[in-house]
Amino acid sequence: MKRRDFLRIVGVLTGSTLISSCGSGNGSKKFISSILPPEEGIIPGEAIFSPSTCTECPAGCGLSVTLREGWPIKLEGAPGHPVNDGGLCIRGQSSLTRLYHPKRIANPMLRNGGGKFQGISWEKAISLVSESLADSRGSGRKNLYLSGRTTGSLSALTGMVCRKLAVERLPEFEVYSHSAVKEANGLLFGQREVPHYRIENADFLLTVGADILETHISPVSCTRKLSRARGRGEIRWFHVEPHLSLTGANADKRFAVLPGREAVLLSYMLRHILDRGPRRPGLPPEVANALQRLSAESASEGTGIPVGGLQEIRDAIANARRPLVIAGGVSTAHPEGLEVAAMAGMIQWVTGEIPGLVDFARGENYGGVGTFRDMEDLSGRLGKGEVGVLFLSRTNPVFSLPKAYSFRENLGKAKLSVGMGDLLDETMQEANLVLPLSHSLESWGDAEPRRGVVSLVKPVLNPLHDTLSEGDILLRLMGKGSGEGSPTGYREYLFDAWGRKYGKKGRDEFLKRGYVEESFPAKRVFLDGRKAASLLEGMKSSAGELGRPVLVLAPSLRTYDGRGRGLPLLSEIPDPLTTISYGRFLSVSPGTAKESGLKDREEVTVSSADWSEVLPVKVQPGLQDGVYQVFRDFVASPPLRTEKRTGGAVEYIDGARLVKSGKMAAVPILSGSSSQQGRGLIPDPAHKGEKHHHGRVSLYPEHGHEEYRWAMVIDLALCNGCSACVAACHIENNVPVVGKKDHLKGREMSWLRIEPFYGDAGDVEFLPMLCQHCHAAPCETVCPVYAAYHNPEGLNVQVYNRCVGTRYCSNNCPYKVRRFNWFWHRWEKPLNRMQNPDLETRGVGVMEKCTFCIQRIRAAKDRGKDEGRKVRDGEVTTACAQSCPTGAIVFGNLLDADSRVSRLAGSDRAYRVFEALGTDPSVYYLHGKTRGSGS
Amino acid sequence: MASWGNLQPLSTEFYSLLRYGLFLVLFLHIPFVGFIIGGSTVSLLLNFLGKEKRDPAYLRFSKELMETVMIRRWPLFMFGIVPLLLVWFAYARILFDSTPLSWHLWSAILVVLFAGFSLLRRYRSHWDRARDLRPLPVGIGAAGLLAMILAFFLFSNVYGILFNPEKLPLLRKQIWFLLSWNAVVKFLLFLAFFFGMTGGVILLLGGRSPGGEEGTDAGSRGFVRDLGAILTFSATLVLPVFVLFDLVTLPEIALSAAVFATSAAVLLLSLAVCLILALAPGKGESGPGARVLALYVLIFFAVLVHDNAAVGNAYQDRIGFLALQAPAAGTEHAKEAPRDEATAAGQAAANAGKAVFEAKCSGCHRFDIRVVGPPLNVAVPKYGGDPEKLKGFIRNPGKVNPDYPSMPKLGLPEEEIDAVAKYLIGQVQGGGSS
Amino acid sequence: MERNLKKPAILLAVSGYFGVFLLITVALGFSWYRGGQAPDQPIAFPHTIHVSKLSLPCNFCHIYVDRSRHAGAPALETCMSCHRAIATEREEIRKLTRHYEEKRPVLWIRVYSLPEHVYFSHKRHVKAGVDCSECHGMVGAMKKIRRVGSLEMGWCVSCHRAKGAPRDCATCHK
Repeated sequence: MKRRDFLRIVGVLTGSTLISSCGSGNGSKKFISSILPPEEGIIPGEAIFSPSTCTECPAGCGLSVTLREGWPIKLEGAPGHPVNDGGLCIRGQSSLTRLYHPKRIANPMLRNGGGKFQGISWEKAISLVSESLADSRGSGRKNLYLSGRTTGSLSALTGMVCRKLAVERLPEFEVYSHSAVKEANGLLFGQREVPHYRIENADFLLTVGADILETHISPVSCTRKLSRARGRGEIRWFHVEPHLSLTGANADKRFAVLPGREAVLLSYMLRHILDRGPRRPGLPPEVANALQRLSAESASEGTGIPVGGLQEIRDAIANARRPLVIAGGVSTAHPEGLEVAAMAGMIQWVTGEIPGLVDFARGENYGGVGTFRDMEDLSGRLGKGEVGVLFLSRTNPVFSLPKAYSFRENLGKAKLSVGMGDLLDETMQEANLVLPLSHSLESWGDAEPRRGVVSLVKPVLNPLHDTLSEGDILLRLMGKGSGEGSPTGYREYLFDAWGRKYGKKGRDEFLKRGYVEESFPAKRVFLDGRKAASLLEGMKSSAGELGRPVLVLAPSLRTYDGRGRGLPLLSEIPDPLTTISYGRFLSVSPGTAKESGLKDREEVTVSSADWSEVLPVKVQPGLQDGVYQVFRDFVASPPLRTEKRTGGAVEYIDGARLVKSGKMAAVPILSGSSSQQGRGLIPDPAHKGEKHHHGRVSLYPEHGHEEYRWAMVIDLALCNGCSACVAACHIENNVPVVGKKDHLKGREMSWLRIEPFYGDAGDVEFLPMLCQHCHAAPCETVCPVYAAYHNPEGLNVQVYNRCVGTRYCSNNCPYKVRRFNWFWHRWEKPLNRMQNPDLETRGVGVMEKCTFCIQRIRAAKDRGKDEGRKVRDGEVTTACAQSCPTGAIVFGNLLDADSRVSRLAGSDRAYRVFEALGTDPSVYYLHGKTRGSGS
Repeated sequence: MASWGNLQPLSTEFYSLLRYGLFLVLFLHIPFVGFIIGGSTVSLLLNFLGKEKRDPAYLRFSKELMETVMIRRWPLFMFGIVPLLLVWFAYARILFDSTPLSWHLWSAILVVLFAGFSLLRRYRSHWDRARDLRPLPVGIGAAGLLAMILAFFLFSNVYGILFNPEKLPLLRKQIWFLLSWNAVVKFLLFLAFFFGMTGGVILLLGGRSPGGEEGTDAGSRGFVRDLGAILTFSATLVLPVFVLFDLVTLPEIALSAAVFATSAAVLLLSLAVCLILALAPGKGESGPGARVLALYVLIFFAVLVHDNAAVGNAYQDRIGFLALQAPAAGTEHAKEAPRDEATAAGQAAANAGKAVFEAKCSGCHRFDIRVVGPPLNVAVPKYGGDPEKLKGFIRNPGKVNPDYPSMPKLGLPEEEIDAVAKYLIGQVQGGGSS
Repeated sequence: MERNLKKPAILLAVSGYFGVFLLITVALGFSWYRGGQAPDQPIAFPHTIHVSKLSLPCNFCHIYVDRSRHAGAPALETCMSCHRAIATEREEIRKLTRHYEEKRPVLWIRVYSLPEHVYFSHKRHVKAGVDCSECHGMVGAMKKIRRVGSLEMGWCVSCHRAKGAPRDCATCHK
């Protein structure tokens, strides 16, 4: 019996006890004797951790999967992993809900005569595919293989199988293909790829449109490195963008540039750097001459950035010793995108820091990724009816591609379109044959997100449904096609490949550790002056101007390019900038709102030449006038142009008009107000140090603490509102997903929320708000049944089965962090498998709230007792702190004088929210300059 | 009190003998004490009323009652004190692992009870000295009565332990765990029973013309009979409440069909009592006293059967366990008695090894023939008389001979492993030589 | 005249009164009969023999008792390691062997179970030196395992109090 089968059985064991829990009446439940004893080290009732890799986005972050009784119940970033080193973003956390998604495709399905899907066996499916492969080969039609970004062994296997079966492998399709960057690097340095940016080595970072905290290449890795550097106070970071992104909101300085005019800005910068005197290596003369000369004024006029701002950026770059410029995102997705990317490259070249900061040796494996133009061609070929079998794996072009491509229509012209994926998205619905893919937690594999960084994909449970991994499907196809039956499974294939690559010992090490990192010598690259010059000449004439007002399609923190839309948790957790949870919306600037008299939630019709959408409005402070903003996934097949030279999409809709529909839409905006209303939740640095001295007068006796007093420190200077903590909390603590209707009634359940507070200048600060575990807690004193009480470890405990739901505590809580269960929140099967057995699932009429992950504390103390010691500092941490990519949250014991929390709580940056109320919270916030902070 | 530790019941038979002995003793003792408590209460009451009302009838009957209650010394001793000593012994045997506790408590109970007796006797002697029927000071009597009741309360609490052996470990830590709802309910139940019984006796007395005294008029007799009737009737009415609460408060392990059945029986019997009293014929003929008293005897019998059954259930595991442990216990005794000083040490070691062998190994191994494991005369020599090697195998056994199931890892303490290994080698070599 | 009206009335009242108590008693008895008894297990495993006769330590079969919150039921492999040879002709052992050969796990009926909101760890109690029998009774003498002790909160707390174990709600309440 395999380990997983055993765990499954034990899972049933405790599962059954969990599901049916009716007092101590006996004889009701089962108690199971498995067949074989488990492997060494597996103990039922104890958590097991297994390495794997996240596949929610192409970044390929390392995972540490928490298993209880054989079921994965939590995903955490793998500490030490070369990509994410312990952090995991909101999407990665939610990947678990994809695994357990109730609507996952359970078995292969074939579209019958009536256009309805009906289940068929894998045997049938495979033979059907290989037959149609054969006849289309016979009838001179082409068989094509299209997939999302694929790296590592799967890429190799796909190549091999395609060769064997004479299937043409198309360039992979990603909405964010970074084509402009690749083109530019190809042009300048002959390196047609996306380099790895070494933020950790820079002392100044200028990001031009690159949303490095949200979706850009590898957000968690960027966030982690950046926040480390910022924590040490070693880096300054400016951000330039036309719209407002979370990234922009977190930069030291953010400059709103006119849409499409970044090139002007950069050429001004480059010119200036050259004028500042020779740098090693300078620019070849022809390039220097080709570079247009702009006065600060004309540059300011061209970019919309005030002269002062320009000079600030200019001097910052010029004075920096190791400046790093990253162009990307929407700033490279417009007609001048190529120039923007190229100019960024040239600045990098001029500063002479390429090998150290821009690492081509460790390129971000985007080589196989194609562009929108490739997809346009594909659509054309489909239209001409020259395509036999078309595989569409892990990709959703029907949703992402512009209508103009009429991909949906042409897809029907293929003889057989084979959709592979896990949820029935737009593309899958169009396919004739649907092959369900196993989740990465159900299948073997590897990923090479960055050259030389191979990350293990390892199954932790048997497939929940009748699904296969892509590798297995390919191998079976090959088996059928080449006559000799399926040779081996994908697992054997991989083990064989790894064995050859790393040797037996190396492979075992890889399997245990979860990743391999090979080291290369840095790659020296040289600027091709001629090409650069010609590009610059071209630029003078080219008109990158976008007709304003313009609608920017921004990448989404929560759903990436829209692939996360299916996951309920990602809609339950609000967008940090707007605090809107469910539904689509259009962000407009306060100026626009004023002049056209728009209010939040007001419905407008936004339209361009041949397209229109009805969306509710959200007034977004900090957004510049003349620019509207929606998230990419709010608009299905948007009317986007293709950029000639890079083949990338222009992520703008220019000449967008707004027409009020006069209706109001129901939009759940969770925050009561976008400003602090002067309550000093985040104190104005000017007033810092003003302490409220009046001592607290209390009728209640002081609480004593024996060994532990748990406390939390949150560094607001590091927190960037990415909401990973919120997702982690949801999953760790079985916090239910309640849906839009409840959100509209203000009945959200999240124990932890990110509160964005905007300043007058549109600058925003994020305040993570959770139970403050007050030392003198207002909630405790009003509970008539002692369900809320203060425990000897300083925790503000809620005894759920004691709570009778008077809700006095919530009324009396100044922080509004207590959540009331208005209903039984059912967990649609198999989502209930995700529940953490260490917590009770709260029933209707019960108040719940953050417990500082008391179950983790309990586990740590248990370990401590076994070894006869106290819990060590850092041994126990909450789910939010663990998942935080910036390491902004620190948890520990306040009684231990040299624990990190004690040191940080003592720092002069520390304050507590509403200190004047005398609630004496256990959550300390750090505010102000990070320099000198103990972290 | 170390010596108490060895006071274990040596066999289940002995144990059940104890239980039935206890049953008998209680059957005599409790009604006796009960009648004393009930009777003296009533007598005191009458005495008091008599003082108020200056009615000779009250006082006379009070005296009469006191005399019936406080008979000679020796029956007091026989039925009051001796049984307690017996019960004490029985307890020491049954609750063998909480004897220190019962020791203290029983001493307390005895002392208090004795005090109670002597005080009441003192009170009674007043009557004798008194020439005519003069109201007497109630104080001493009251004190005596209280003492009796207190003693009986303590008694019922100790009695309560019998029904909840799970408490014993806690009891050894904190005496307060002695108090339990069940015990309190039992105490009240017994009190109710006492008064009911006393009432019955009074009815009986009232029925007959009291001890050939002159000038006893129908009036006083009627009064006595009514008193008895009311007393019994009301006592019998409250009885069921306690019976029910007893069932509710009994620990789960003490329950069984018999327990429920006997409670039902008690209810039915008390129903009968009430009916008899309610439908009793008027004045004149002999009253229902005899029948009532008879029924009460039955009731008490039922109650004791009920308790006995409950105790049986509560203790069945512990006793069953003892029965199963008996052989091992035997060997332990053997171990304790080294005959000869010279060989004492070696002998003891050998015995220890033998004991371990019989307890742990003999299930699967014999020296001469194959049982589950191989015959030891064949298997042990493989270790060439080296205890260490053998001990190593016993610590974590592996499969040696494929024709046998692999020996389970028993997780024995080191000294037992050592003992049994030495013993085995000794045996096999000895067997080989002779 | 009125006398013979009174009698039946009294009779009725008294028997009614006792009738009620009788009913309740019967009800109690029935509920005990339903739930309170020791359940029949799929395989009539005699703890008497294994614990008392062979005096196997509890953790010989319940291997997790000092390692996890669950004591765990033994894997059938463990049973078979002896019962391949011992008492193979007995009907119950045949059942066991069938389960083992057909790879069907044995579904025992739980005798001890706690509500969902309770955190209980066998490991902690065993390591604190609590003897198994303090909660599970003299298992070695039970032909059928039955629950001793009510497992109600008061039951837990009284022991925690007696032994000075922590009594913070969060120790046991999830």
